[in-house]
Amino acid sequence: MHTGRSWPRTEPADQASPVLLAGDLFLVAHQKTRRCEIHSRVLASGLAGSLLAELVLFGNISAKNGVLKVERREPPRDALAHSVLDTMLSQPQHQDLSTWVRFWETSAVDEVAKRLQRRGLVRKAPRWGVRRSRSGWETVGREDVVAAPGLRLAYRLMPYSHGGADPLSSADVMLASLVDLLGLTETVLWDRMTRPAALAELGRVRACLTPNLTEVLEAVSQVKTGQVLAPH
Amino acid sequence: MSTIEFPRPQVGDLVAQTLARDRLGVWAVVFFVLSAAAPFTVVAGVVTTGWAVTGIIALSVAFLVIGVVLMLFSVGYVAMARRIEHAGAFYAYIARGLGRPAGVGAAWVALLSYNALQVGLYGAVGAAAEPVLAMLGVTVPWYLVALMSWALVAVLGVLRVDVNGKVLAGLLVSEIVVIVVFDAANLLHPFEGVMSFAALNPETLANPGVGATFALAVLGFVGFESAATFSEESRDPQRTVPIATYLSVGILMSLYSVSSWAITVVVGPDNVVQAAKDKSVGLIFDLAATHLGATVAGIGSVLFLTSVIAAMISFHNTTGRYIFALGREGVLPRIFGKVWQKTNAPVAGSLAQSVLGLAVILTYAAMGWDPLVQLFFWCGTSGGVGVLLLITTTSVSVLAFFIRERDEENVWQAVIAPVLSCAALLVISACAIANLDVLLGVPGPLRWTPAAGFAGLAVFGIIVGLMLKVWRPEVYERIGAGAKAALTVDASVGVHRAVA
Repeated sequence: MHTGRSWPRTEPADQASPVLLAGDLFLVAHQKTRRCEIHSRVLASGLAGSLLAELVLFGNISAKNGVLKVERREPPRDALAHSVLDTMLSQPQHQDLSTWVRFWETSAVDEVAKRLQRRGLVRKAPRWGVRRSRSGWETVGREDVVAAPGLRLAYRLMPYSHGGADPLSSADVMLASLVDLLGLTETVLWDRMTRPAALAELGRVRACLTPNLTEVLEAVSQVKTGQVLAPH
Repeated sequence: MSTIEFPRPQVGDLVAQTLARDRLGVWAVVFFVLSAAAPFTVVAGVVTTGWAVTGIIALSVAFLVIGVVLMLFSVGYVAMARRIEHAGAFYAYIARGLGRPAGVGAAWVALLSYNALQVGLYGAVGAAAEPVLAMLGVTVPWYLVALMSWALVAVLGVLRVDVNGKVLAGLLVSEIVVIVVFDAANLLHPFEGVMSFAALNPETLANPGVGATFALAVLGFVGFESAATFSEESRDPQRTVPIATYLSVGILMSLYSVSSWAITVVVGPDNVVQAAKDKSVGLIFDLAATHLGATVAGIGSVLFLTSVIAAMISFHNTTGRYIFALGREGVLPRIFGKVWQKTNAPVAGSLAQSVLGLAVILTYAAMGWDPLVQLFFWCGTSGGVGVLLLITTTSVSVLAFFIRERDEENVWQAVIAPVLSCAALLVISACAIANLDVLLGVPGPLRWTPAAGFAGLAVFGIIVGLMLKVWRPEVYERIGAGAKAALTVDASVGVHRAVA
């Protein structure tokens, strides 16, 4: 039987998984056909939340009652997370979590894609035509590598892995929650037979999400719902 | 850990600047609102059909009266919009002002009203397409045109392809230009050489059926409430939304009253009812052909068709969003809170609206009912009465809200304007309900059908709201929360799944 550790990862093992959250979500959104399968604004709101969640996981920021607070000014090693924190530090007048989700929504897709591009995992794709990708990017390289985040989630949410293997990390619980929020659950949990049990497990683990990450998830959910409610 | 030094941007407010790039100014909001109101549809379709059915020429004055009352109403409405979550929906105001059960009742009334307005347009599109198809030498039954436009609206709704903003703006500007040109031509050719102001005389309102005329006038303004939806997307919500609302109402009021008056000038106030009965929606195009030539009249016909289709898409999307919001909040079954992630469209709400539209078109086609009067006019005016009742209840809610929770609002915003508009709207609503027989052209108990339908739905909604309060307090708490209802519902979905 496989264990959680045996699944391929998209990053070298010595790097902490929180760094990968936004990249993992990006790869899941492109897992099925190597091109983005959801609306670009939906993906953008999810990635914006992921970037903030990465800082929560690094311990740089916290969120309470919809307000962000910088807890630790020392930047993370990841350049993009560093840049996100730096921007937030330069704009102390903005503390509303939803405002920051909307702000990063404007650039999150390209920023996260460029981070993955530096690892050789994505490349530019046309936005229109037969080969179009809604995000403007497509995944490249070994399929097991680009599909790793989705496979990891699927494996750890499957009923046969509940009793053993690794429990889901906070980052993976957040990833699974965002995957569900963005409507990508069926992409990850492709096996219809085991999907109900996996969804039940997802409901259970999501209830264990830390308050800070729950706040971020709530902000993404609000922004995403607001996109649907607003005429455009 | 080494620290990478990033150069700090020497800019003012980077977040505000970035978010402002995609935000809307006053005129952008006005364009969205006017497009939803579809002024050419009102001038060419509602005005002429209204004269033909009611036989009352007071429409020009009624537009002025309703415009002023709606401006008064908007003072409190936009002031309250800053304080509530789901600012574009009347039921959210009513939930906050009069309580959540009343909000649920209003939501059901709104659903019926907007659906009636949308499906009513399928009755107009055949008449709108007739002259355009005639230019191409084609004759098609109304229901085929309606089915084609239904398919277009249904597909665009699910794909969430709103008509491009610039295309919409171009069409709207063209519509307004054509209306102004038609008006000028009509005013330059007065009947028997005498410029008559009879249609603008307030005394014309002293008519037993004036309530019907008020209901028709309200129909022309439906969509003005959507300006408040743009609070979060506007550059300066404190300024943009109020100005855009007043401007939209003012422009619509001027267009409608001048245009309807201009037609009475060219035809003669005593002849306009008969002319409307004889020529229906073709009246203003016949006048244009006479005074401006066939080409201009043809352009007008094409723009009438695009105006009707744009209105259909707009009302379809409004209804879909309403259904989506209620599904997210748990007031409607949760399936209606679903979106199609590929397009971010409220797919269940959109499909539900399309199924209703198809059923209505097929029923009218099978029964051989008149599409213009019995579908467009009846559904349009019934929807208009529903929206009038919603506006009236919202005005009461605004008043109740500011009595309890007045903050920075001045006396004019919180008391004087809401009291005046509330009183005026109560009188207008009472007149409209009393004159439903004139409006619908049906005597006897049938006249009460729309009022009874709205009352029944409101009571049903209130009962549902009270049941939610007792049995599902977590859903009850989120009524009217709009986007902020999202996570509670998501979390409860998770729980449902976990239970399943």
